[in-house]
Amino acid sequence: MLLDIKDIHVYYDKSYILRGVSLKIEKGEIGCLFGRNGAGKTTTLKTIMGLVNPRQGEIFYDGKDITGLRPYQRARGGIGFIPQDKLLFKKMTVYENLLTGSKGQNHGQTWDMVLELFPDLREKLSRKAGSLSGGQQQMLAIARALLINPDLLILDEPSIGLMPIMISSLAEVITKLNGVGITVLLVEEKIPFALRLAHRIYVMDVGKIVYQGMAGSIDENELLSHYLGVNQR
Amino acid sequence: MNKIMYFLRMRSVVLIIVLLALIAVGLCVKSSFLSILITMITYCIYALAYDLLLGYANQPSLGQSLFFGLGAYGMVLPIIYWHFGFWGSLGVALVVGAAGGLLVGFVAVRLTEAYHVIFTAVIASVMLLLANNYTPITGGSGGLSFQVAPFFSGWIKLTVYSIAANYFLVLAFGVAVFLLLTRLVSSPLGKVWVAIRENEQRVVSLGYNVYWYKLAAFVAASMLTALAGALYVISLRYVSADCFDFQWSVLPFVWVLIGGIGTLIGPIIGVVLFTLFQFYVSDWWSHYLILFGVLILVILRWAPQGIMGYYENIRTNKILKGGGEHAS
Amino acid sequence: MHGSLETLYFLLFDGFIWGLIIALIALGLSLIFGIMGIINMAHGDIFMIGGVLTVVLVARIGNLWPLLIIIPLIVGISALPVERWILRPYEGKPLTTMIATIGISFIIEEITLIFFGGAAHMVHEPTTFTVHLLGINYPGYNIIAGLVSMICILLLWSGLRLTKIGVYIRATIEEPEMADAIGINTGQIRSLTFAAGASLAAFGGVLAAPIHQVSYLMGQDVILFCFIVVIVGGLGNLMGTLVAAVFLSAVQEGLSLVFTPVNSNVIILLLMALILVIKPKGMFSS
Repeated sequence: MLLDIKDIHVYYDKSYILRGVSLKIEKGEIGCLFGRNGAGKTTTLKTIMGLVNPRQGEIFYDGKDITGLRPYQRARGGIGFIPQDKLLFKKMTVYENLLTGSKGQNHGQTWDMVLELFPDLREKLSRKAGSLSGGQQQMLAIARALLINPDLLILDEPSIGLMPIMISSLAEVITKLNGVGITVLLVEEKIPFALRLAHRIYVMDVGKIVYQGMAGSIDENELLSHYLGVNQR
Repeated sequence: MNKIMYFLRMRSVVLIIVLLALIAVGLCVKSSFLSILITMITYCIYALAYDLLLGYANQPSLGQSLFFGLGAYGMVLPIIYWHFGFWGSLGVALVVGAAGGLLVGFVAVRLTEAYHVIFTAVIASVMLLLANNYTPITGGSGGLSFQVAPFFSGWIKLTVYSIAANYFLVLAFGVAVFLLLTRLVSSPLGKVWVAIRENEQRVVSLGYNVYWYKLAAFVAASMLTALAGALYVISLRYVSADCFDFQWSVLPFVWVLIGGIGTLIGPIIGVVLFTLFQFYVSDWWSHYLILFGVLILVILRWAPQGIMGYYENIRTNKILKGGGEHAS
Repeated sequence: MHGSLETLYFLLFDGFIWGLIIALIALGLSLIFGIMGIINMAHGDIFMIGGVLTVVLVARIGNLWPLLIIIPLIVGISALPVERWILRPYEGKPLTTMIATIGISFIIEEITLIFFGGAAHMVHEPTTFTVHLLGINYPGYNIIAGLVSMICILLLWSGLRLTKIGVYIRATIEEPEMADAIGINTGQIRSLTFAAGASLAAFGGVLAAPIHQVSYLMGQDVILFCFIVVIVGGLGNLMGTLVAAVFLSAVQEGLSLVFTPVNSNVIILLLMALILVIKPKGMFSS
């Protein structure tokens, strides 16, 4: 069990956002978290990263209780985070963005490996991150997260605003990373894209997990009609 | 519902008792204690004005000394140069305070918190420099003394040279301001201010022009601050550029902080406690600013909600606990 | 002499040099705000401590130059616990930090008054040569002070651009939460920045001691001007702060040809208000 969230409750001021969320991801899996807008998906991810603190509940990572750790300690412990908004340091160059993720080492195996994975970035090292296209920004954020040598990669709606062709290369990257042993937790709204990748599926609604199962236990239509409140036909 | 009515009635009873006590004190007690009370009531007006601004309309000005000083000089200069009577110069002081508030507020109100705080502080500091520099008009830090002619208020002829008359005059203003603000914060206007404090974006999306509401609060607070400044110098019969001193911008924050932001009782408690502290400690140690500094840090750390906040917390906890037991 | 072109040159040059020293202080102020959201009202007093320690230590060791390193170091290290134990809980709340640092400012000023006294002191210029410049004899020390400030600013700039810590600091300014989530110890960055900002102000204090009268209140005028500078340049905008410091200082000196110092302050203030009306987040905001 790489990530094990036990019954977390989160409040923003007085509003009760997460109402007892439990979630597990095995080593080497791709886990996918679905849910309507406002269901609490992003809050769950932020709680895993320590950006939001639960009032109750625990988070175990690789067998250790990380509930009390600061975000940077969790990141250095091997959790790479790719948020949905404020993805990059837009005023800084691509190179500097990469530096922030790599504890300041601009050489070594990981660095080379990452640049091999994203050859586009190598030519744009001195460009401002804010000037990249949406897809390139997403790739840069993933590259930066990879530089801390993560065991777990957390992505919050990485496909948002991307062109279809970029989405499929994103899927390729995620599969490739999973192939080298990186566990992935993905929040997505593009269901076909995510279902193709996922090994394990969770669905949230109003701050609770309302469905969990392995890939293939549920199909797209069922997911949509039962849990996401959209009637396709 | 009954509980709330009961609470409100209790509150009015307490207020009436306090008022009667203050009147009795004015009739019986000798001058030295009365002069502390005069100072306290003047400060209360100042603190209430600041609470209106910060606690209700959520505008963190750190330049209130500007309006305090404007009120002070707005009161004194017409008396000295044009021999205005009390009411005439008070009118001038209020108009000058409100006009100053309008000018500063015009810029300050649209700024974000950080810029608002610095902008107001800088304006007030430059005003202090000006007041210190234009000694022929302001008297600089040496100050000016002046005479206040007796004046009619209603049918009674008053002179501030009688300390009891001075006391009742200031008390009357204090009570009037308190009642006015009690009315104001529960009026529709006050409700909009509170809504802005709680969630400005939402008020904007409801179609209110937040700018004008905030400006109104800023001007109202400036005017009341000018009133405090005017009463302050009238009671002293002396004014100096020190009325613009930066301390006068820090004090209202400290009063409101001690007592509790966003309540009308809190600032009064804050004024009473802090004025006693200031009065006795500054008497005892000339470097009392060190203690002032330490006190600020201590309050910020251990009682950021002030005394009223502390009291409210205990009360709500009690109510919540009581309610929970009922439900289970 | 009065009103002549030489005087104007002299004043503008003087303003430029003083602007560079002001920039040291204002950059610290801006950096601290950018990283921590602290409006440091005690920043002028840190500058003052730099000056006061210079007066005290020059009398002991008889030389100003080593103090340029020693004093900022002492001040920087003493600033660490203040940030960690007093200011940390209020970071990101401008008004509260301002009030807290006012408390600190009162404490620093009164303690200095107790130990140093209320009188103004002056440190002798460590150099005596003058430079003939644009038809005027200009004190050599001022030029050295200007150069040293410039070097210091360049070092700061390249430190922020080229070092790993600099990249971390800029990342923390831009997106503090994100920086934390990708593995930057932002708590450490905060402490470091606060200490660095305090050191810069103290450094300015040492440099200014032979030019400016040293007294326990010397921070008050300077902090006022620095606040105008950071407002015009944009809070947290370092380049804007630098430009505004030099520009406004030169303007102020230039104005003093025609106006009294107080009146030129008022004109600068009106300039600031005008800029805020047009651009509520500083001259260089987008």
